[in-house]
This record gives sequence, C-alpha cells and structure tokens, in this order.
Amino acid sequence: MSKITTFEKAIDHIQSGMTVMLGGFFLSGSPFGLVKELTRRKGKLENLTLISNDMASEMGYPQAYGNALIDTGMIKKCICTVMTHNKVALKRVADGLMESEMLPMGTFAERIRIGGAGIGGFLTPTGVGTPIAEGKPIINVDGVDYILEKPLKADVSLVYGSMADENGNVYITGTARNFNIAMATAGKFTVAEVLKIVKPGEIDPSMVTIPAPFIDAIVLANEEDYKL
Amino acid sequence: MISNRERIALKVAQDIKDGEFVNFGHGIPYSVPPLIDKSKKVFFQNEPGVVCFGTYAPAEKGVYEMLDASNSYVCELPQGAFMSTSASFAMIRGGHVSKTVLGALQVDSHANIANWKTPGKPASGIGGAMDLCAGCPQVLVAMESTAKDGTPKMVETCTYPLTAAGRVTMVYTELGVFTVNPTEGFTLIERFPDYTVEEIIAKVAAPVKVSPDLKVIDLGIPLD
Repeated sequence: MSKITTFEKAIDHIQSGMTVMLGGFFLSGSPFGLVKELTRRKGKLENLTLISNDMASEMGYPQAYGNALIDTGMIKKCICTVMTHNKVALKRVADGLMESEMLPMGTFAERIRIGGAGIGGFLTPTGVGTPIAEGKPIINVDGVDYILEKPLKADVSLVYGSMADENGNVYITGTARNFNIAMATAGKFTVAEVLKIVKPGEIDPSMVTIPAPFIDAIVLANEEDYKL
Repeated sequence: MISNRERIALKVAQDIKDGEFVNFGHGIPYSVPPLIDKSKKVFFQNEPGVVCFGTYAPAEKGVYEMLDASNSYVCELPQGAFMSTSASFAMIRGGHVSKTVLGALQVDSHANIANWKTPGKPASGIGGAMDLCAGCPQVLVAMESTAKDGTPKMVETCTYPLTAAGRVTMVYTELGVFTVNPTEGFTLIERFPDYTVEEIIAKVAAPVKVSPDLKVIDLGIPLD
C-alpha cells in the first residue's frame, strides 16, 4: 500500500492539545511544506506542544515559515535547545504567552531517541551542577553524578527526507539527517516530506536512513517552498 | 593592527595540533578554522552530525542539506562523515571529540563556565555547549578578558548560571593563555608581549598564579 498522501491529509492527523515533533536544524532538513500547511490551521488548532531544536528558526529566510507558525498562537509550549533566531518565539515566551522548556542539545536528541526506542530514561553527566538539573533526580553511578532524563514522544512527527520510495523507506543526505531520524521513531504518526519519490527497490537497502516501518505517510515537497 | 578577537583566534589556531578532532563553538572560536596552518590535518566536529576535514565551503544558495550549527555551509570531502544528531552527541558526550573551543560570559577559579544565560533574562539558547563541556577531555574558552562595559570575565566564582561545573581546562584571552582547574585555579602560562604580568593580574578578578615557565607569545606577525 502506498503511503503517499497530500499535505492537507497529513496535517489533518494533528488535533488540538497534541504534541508535535518537527525535524530540522535551522534551515537544514526542515520540512518547510508541512510547517506551511500547519501554519494554515491558524484559529482551528490550539494548545499544541512543539518539540523542535530551534523553533523552526528562519535564519533570515521567511519562506521557512517558523516565525509564522509561532505567530499563529497555536503553540502552547515549546521544547527546544535554542530560539535565538526566532524572534516571535522569544517575544511570546517573554510576554508569558508560550511556555518554554530549554534543554542541552545532546539531552534533547537523546530524550527523543529513547522515546522512539521504548526506553524509560537515561543518565547523562550533561548539566550536572547547572540550572538544568533543578527538580530532576541525580543518580550516582560508580562515583559519577548523572541527571535522570525522561523520554520525549510525539503524537505526530513531521520530518524531512531527500528521497523516499512509496513504501516509506527514506534516504537523507548531509546534515539534513539531524533530528529527523530520531523524531521519525518517536512519533505515533510520522509524516516525511521528501524532495523526490522513487519506486520501491530504487533505494539501495544499505543506504536507507529511516526504514519504512517508522514512516506512516509521505508527501512530495513543492520545489518553490525550498527556493531560499 | 589586529583586533583582540583576531589575536585570540590566531593564538588558538597556532596551538591546535596536527590530527586533533575539534568542535568550535560560536563567537571567536568559529573564526579559528580558516586560520589553522594548512600543513596540519585537523578534523572538525559539528553538532547537527558532521565530521569533516578542511574548511567551510562557499555558500551555494538553496543547498540546505549541508549546513552546520551556525547555518554556514560545510564542506563535503571524502574524509568526512555525516550522522544523526543523536550519534553526533554520542560522539561529544562519550568523549570522542578531543577538544572543544567555546566562547563564554564568565569563567571562574573552580573551572566553571557560564555561557548561555544572563541573570534575569529568559534564555535564548543552550545549544550543544553543556554536552561539549561534559564530554570533551579538553575544554578551551576563547574570549576577551572583559565584557563590553569593562567588567572582568575571569572571576573567582561565576555569578551567571553555569553551563558546566569544573570542566574548563584552558582560557585564551587577549592578555595571554591560562590553565585552570578546580584545585589550582588560574595559572598564567603564556602572555602577549604588550601586557606585563602585573597588568594581566590586574585585569583578572580572581587569584592568578604565574607559571615558572611563562612564555611570551609570538604569532609571527606584528600585533600593532
């Protein structure tokens, strides 16, 4: 069965109150078309929790839609590592309109990875002795203090791919891999926006970045969304 | 005349050794890679998930699959490798990146670093700094010795929220180079020729020991 669908049908899986993961590291490996479609649901969706490394920062390219997404007001809480480049998000947090949980990037990445891997927590030395540790259990293993960090999961994950086959095997090149691999595993329903769709068998199995069982839907990117 | 920031970056570049595997943070550290002598083979690690040899690539608009943590274009060379961000931080946290060079708001005598948040203001980003400090065996800070208002950034105890406790190993400033560890505090090991030891000690708001082997830095170019 082909997993290819439309942007509208893919984003229809998101309902108010849900947690959404968004792949990408600044402009790299960000599913711009899915962000744009989500932004169109302004007024229809509310109380979403967005898990995104940088709050879809535009880095000077408004076509990336990150500021517009936050500006819809549908994001109640964000979990991220940096929002320096999303001025709308910074302002909403400062004004008390959006809750923010900021994490060290390695902790953010690993919480998502274990969320998708069925693991209940992990112990990290990162952040011990800093404000990040406040309120979290500290566990000493063989003389070293670690913070217990819990998994992150999503109702819907929106990820990016360079190429996919219609079964859902995804190949990603370069730094565009970033959080997309872990987020694809951590979403109950995962949509991959890809630049190219090929026939099953055309991607060398050894080159598959995200195997098909992690992917529920594929949408073909519009080229104009990626003209920066 | 070269600026303070340039001389700090040049000194860090001079001290990077052949074969090292380094992650450079934002600010002064980010300007170091192009300054490293081409005779040295240095591997760069970058947070999204890239290991590459060489320098940054010229920007080619629209190729957004090859960007680093600062949204700059990275080179893709046969010696390089791409990985997920989870694997990238396994590399960082697991101690497989030998050295990180970071900017800082404050560094103190206990080898603590503060570089992500000013008190009383909402944080705008943590990024990879906390993991880099936790995992890298060598944590170098490259920063000007004072803030814009003249306040010393090398202090006895950080007043800003910490990025990591007890992890900094060296501090590079426009005054010179210091080692630091929680038991010894700061030790001046190299000084730039235009500052005397007394002038340097006066600019640090913490006790400074002076190495018996104190060296004078020679960048091979005039400083003024």
